Amino acid sequence: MYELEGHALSWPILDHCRNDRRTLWTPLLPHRPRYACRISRTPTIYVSNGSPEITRHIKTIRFLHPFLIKSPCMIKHIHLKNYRSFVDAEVDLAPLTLVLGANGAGKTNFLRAFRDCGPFIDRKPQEGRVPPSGDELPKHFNHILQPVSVKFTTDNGDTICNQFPPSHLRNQTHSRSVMIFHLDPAKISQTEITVANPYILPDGSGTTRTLETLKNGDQEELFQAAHKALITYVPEILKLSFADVENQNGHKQMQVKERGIDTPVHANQLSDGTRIIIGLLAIIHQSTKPPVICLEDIDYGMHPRVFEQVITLMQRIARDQHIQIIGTTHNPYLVDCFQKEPQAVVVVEKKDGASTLATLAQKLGRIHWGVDAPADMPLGNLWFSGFLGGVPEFLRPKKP
Amino acid sequence: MKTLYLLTESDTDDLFYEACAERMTGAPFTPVPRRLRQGGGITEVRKALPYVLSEIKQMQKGSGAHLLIALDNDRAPHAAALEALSPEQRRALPNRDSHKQDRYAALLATLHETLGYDHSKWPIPVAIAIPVEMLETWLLLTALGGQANALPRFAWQDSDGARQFHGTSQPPPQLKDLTYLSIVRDGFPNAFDWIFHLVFERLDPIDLANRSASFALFKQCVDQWPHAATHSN
Repeated sequence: MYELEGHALSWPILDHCRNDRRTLWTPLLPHRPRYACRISRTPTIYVSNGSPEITRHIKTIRFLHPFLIKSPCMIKHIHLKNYRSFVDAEVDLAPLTLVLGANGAGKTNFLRAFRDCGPFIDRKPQEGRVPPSGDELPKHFNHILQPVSVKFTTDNGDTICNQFPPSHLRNQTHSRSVMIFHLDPAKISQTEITVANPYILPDGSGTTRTLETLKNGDQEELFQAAHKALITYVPEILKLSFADVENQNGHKQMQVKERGIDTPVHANQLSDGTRIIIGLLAIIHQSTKPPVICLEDIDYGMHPRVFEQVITLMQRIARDQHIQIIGTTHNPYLVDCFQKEPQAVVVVEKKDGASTLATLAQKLGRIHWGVDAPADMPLGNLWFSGFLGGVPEFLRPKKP
Repeated sequence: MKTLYLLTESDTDDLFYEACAERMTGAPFTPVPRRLRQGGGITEVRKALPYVLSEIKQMQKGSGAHLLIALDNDRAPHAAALEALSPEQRRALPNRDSHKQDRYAALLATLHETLGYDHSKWPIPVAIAIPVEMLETWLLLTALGGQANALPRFAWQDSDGARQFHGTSQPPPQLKDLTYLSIVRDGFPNAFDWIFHLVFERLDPIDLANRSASFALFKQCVDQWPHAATHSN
């Protein structure tokens, strides 16, 4: 018997969870082995859509520790064959992965692979569209008659391929296991009507009601975590709050108290960068996060000095909560933040019409040093200089 | 085709130096552009050099790698170029410019430190290009004629530096102002086409070397490349 703040999960239930391959049971600590609960004082919690008994426990745990409820699995490796701009490319992934590449290299297509095949990543049946079969996925224009394959390898050892989904996954429907966010500041700060179980849409809509629900619902600790990060990153903000909109029943507006200003300021008066930061914090703190969060231009509007803190927070949330965050950038300063983990940076390059994938660690490994020791150079600088690829190829004019 | 490693600060630099190398040697090159962060100066070159040399070492033998390192002088002292600002002139420079060190000398010292003092024993042919004051100087000398020391020193007319140096709120047009006017006057849609036109149609390396000591130093390096064509001599 394992006790969690007065509530109990019995070992038989936990064993059942571990052994049941049809439903995906996710341990609390993703970096621990499945017996983590035996060797650690930290409890292992399993999320279920299965038996009523477990679901009841989960509800209790959710009430106590809503931020501890995990998504099912972490993708460790992706292999794309004949998918969109990729002919045959594969790469390892980290909990927080940064994606680099020139414009048009295939970064967005890389993110789309997760979205298109999302139903196979999060195996919880939800309402939404039917997972695509191989025939439904977009193919490389030069190989239209060849089969397409998107294969993920997860941290629990499963290999999931769009062509050969496990039988119990067929005909499952899904809605938001993977989301590609391209945040619009206006949507983040818009006035919204409150709804039950809100979540954030790809353009940032839903931020106001999601944060308001966290604050005024039973998950204030999540709101406080996001709020603390916000006032750290944007010290001019003292407080984020919500107010009823006059003559619009149920509508809420987001507002902030700024340093040196007496009255609260409507969030739509904030800079784009500040609103983007609020949106990002809401995405990673919302109670029902997609298992895979893709962020286009992750650094958009953000001061470079804030990068390190934001990246550290995202890495912690990704690891602790077992979600995957994949962000694109063109900013060398952001790449510098990955100096000690170049394996978490994926470079997308296009060669002869086909996008390729490699981590910066792989790229660095291909440099063979002679007797000359390399000078210290920030990772972002190395990438920008062109030594690691992933830079635009300048189109020269014709010689006269 | 020979490989030309370009360690430069911009695409425009790449284009000019690639075209120059081809024009002056008569041989086409495959460019391998490697970028220095703008304003990084000699420190950036020092950091990047081991990576460039490492890449070159990995190339197949016989691929004929050449290395071209280009930095703008940007009003730094330049003992080897007569057109550089004199110590008296430099006193009128803004504080930020007045403390710059001789980049040509520093770059040469870095190469000596890395590759040795005997240039004939360097593993690859190297050329140093440090135009006084910036690439636009050489472009304008090619397009308009005249002497290098008669050209302005700053990039833009409306910069604070130009105002301070000239001691007036309305200094004369500076290097990038004149370049823009020349591109428009010559009827080119963009700088890249104009540069190619200048280098391949109008550049006379010997004549330009006579009018710009900094270009003469660059030409001297390229002329020493093995199997350089006699085109420029």
